[in-house]
Amino acid sequence: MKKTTGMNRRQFLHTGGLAAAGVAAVASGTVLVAPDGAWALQLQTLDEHTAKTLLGMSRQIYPHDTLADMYYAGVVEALDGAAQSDKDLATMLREGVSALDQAMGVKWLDLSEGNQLATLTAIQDGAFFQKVRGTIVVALYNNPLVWRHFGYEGPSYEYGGYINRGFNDLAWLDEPSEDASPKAS
Amino acid sequence: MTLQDLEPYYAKAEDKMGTTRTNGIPGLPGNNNFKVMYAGAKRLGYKGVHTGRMSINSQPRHGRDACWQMGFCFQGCKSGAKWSTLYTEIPAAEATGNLDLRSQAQVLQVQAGADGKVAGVLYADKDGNQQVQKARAVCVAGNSIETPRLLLNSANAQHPDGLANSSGQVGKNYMRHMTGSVYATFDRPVNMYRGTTMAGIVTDESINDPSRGFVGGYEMETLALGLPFMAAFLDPGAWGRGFAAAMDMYDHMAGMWLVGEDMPQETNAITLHGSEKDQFGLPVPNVHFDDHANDIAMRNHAFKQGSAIYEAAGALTTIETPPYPSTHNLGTCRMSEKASDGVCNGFGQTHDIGNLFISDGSQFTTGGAENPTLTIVTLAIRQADYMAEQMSKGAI
Repeated sequence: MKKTTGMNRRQFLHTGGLAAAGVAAVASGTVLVAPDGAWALQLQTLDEHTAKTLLGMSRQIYPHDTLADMYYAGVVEALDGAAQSDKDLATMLREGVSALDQAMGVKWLDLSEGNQLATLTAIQDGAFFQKVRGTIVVALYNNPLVWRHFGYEGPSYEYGGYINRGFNDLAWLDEPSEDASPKAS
Repeated sequence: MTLQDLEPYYAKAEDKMGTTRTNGIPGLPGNNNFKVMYAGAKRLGYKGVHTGRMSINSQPRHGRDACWQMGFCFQGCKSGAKWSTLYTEIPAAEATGNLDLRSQAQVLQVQAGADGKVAGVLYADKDGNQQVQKARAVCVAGNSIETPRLLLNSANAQHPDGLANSSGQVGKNYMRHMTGSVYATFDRPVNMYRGTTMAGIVTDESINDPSRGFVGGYEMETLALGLPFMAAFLDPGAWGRGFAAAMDMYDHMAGMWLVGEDMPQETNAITLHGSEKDQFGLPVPNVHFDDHANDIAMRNHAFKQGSAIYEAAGALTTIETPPYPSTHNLGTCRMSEKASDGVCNGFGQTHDIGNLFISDGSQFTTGGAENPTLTIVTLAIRQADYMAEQMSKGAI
């Protein structure tokens, strides 16, 4: 039922530091690679485990099942980037993940979905969760490539607006009267 | 002040702004979001349902194009169809040769002379250098937060509580309209974000009918947010599968804004912050606002009626969205008949200082149910006529 993402890997590479595996020019730091090799993210600050857990957290906080991991990797990239210039944030992310791992005595990534949710719910009012949620709500939903998944077309000025591109193409309800809604002049 | 006093000025404002459904200007064509509102509202029996009286060109007028239905009305209109002083009144005023516009400046203080009148303003220019500009009259138009802040920050030995504040009313009765939103999901696409954001209204609830459990009234107006804002504001702070499922329905969503008269309350106020200062060392404003019980009862009614409209149009789910952080700022330097009750008279002239005027929405005594720009412009035009008359008489 849901639309496909309508995006290929080349387009995605333009979103930031994410790179296709195999072509990344790795200078330093840790590289997070998708299990299927579809994308790779070079981490500036965070360690691989923290990054992977944050990616898993992002999927649980805003779970769109048909949205590929690479979009959530963009969220991790935003957190990693913010942590690079903010030592307190880097510490908060590392310690927050560590606390999640200790919450039930099993690494958070290895918890069942129900247990993952329960541990997140338990910390949802805390600073760590709020910081992660507040960052990813912007990083995830403000990505123009993610808009396609939701059917949001974004800026329209360069296409002359929607005047000739469906601003009134809804056809499953009765048309308003001419008086209520005059024709476009 | 009566409606009769204002009617000729409302007419001038509507002509200047090119308001649709006035001066022979047709209404805007409704977008998809309006079609959903219209269908549901008509099925509920509402009568006043149309694309509104918008100061957005439905046809080319005064050198500006007709609306392109871009859907970014809140960000400023790139096609120039939406009225804005930036490309209408200001260039027209510059063309007269009588306007000296100093942009990127901030007034730090309105200066009062020994004669009890204001003598000019101290301002920081675009480079941050402080300058003094003498003035025969000063009109303050910083709106409901910055106007009282400036008057309070202009306190001096003669006016220890701030300028024009002998009543103690500067900063009081801050209003921001009763607001809220209803979004609804449908089994077929809407694409509400396409087209003029707010060209759609249901006016039937704007009357005063206390049998509904509150005084005053409200409007229901179409509204759409882009995906990022929707994620932030649909249900602030929400997360998890329920929230994500609602977001998955984004292109199947319709939305409306609820806007009504909020109750003026003296305790809702702009005051000077005790410790925080801006880059010029002036106290920043502190904004305090609480809902009145009447506001809560009105919002509750509006949530129910807005949801009923969408349910009548076949909604799968409806979502009640709380007020957004930004809204219409009104009040804080209100008009009054008696000098002891307010800051200015019916022309926006302050009771205390004859050559100091309030020229913005802070003059409002109540907020009414309507979007306020037309009334702000109307009052400004009327004030300008009054000032010209007073100046020609030598009273100012």
